[in-house]
Amino acid sequence: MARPLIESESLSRFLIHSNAFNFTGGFVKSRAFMPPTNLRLSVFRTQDWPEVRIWEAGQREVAAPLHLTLYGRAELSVAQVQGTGLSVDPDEIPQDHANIIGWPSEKDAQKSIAQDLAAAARLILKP
Amino acid sequence: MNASTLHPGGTCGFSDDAESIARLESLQTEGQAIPEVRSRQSRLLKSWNEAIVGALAPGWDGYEGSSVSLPSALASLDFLRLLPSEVPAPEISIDPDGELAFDWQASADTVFSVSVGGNGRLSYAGKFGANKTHGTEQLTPELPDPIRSGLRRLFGGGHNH
Repeated sequence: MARPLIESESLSRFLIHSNAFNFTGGFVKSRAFMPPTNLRLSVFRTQDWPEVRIWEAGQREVAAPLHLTLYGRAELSVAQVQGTGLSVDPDEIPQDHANIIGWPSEKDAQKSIAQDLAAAARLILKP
Repeated sequence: MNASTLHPGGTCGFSDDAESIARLESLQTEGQAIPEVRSRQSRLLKSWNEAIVGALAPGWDGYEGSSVSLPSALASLDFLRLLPSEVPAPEISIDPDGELAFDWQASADTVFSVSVGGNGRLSYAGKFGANKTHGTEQLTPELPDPIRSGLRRLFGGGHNH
């Protein structure tokens, strides 16, 4: 059973495409937060995790199975997600995994929310 | 660009479509007609082609993304031709639903983006600091005013086409 969500807790969206962030500008691009067709955007609940555990999880659970490079992560809080009208749905598959849900069906509205999430997120590049 | 570059090994999600290929080749020829147009068009077509080739297979994005949509790819060429020449070249990518997206992002909170649907639907969204806009327009022979306005907010200028 998933532990209760706390508004201030951190969520990480792992970045496995180089065009999902701007290295020189130090920001996350909105495409990192465009929802998949099932409208469940994958994130991990990484509050209080040691850095090494975060990167290991990103590599093991996201990048390696897809044979992609883990470049970094976009980090934001549950409250920031909720501030856009979306929700966080912990599913614990795998452990500490959650999905950002509640997306509108209209594409333009999805894009607008993705822009808000990206602007709120902090880019953390993998060492 | 040769249309064959869209069919590497015959494994792409596109169906053969003689008319579509003819349109692509026509665009290439047109772009070569004028030196300054050739340069800009060539860069755009290269980015367009790279985005498409990278998203030919389902799951290309690692998150169950749909393969690129042929109707969207073709409609996006028409959209590209409408862009005012003074507007910087956009970043071209594929959305998880297979539509082509054109992004202009200056900073974390200054961005304008247009996704082109196969039916010519243009889904746009812009964030200009605290101000936002989003909506849909239909692809027409002229760049729709809301999109022209969004680009103007990002880059300034008249952007008369």
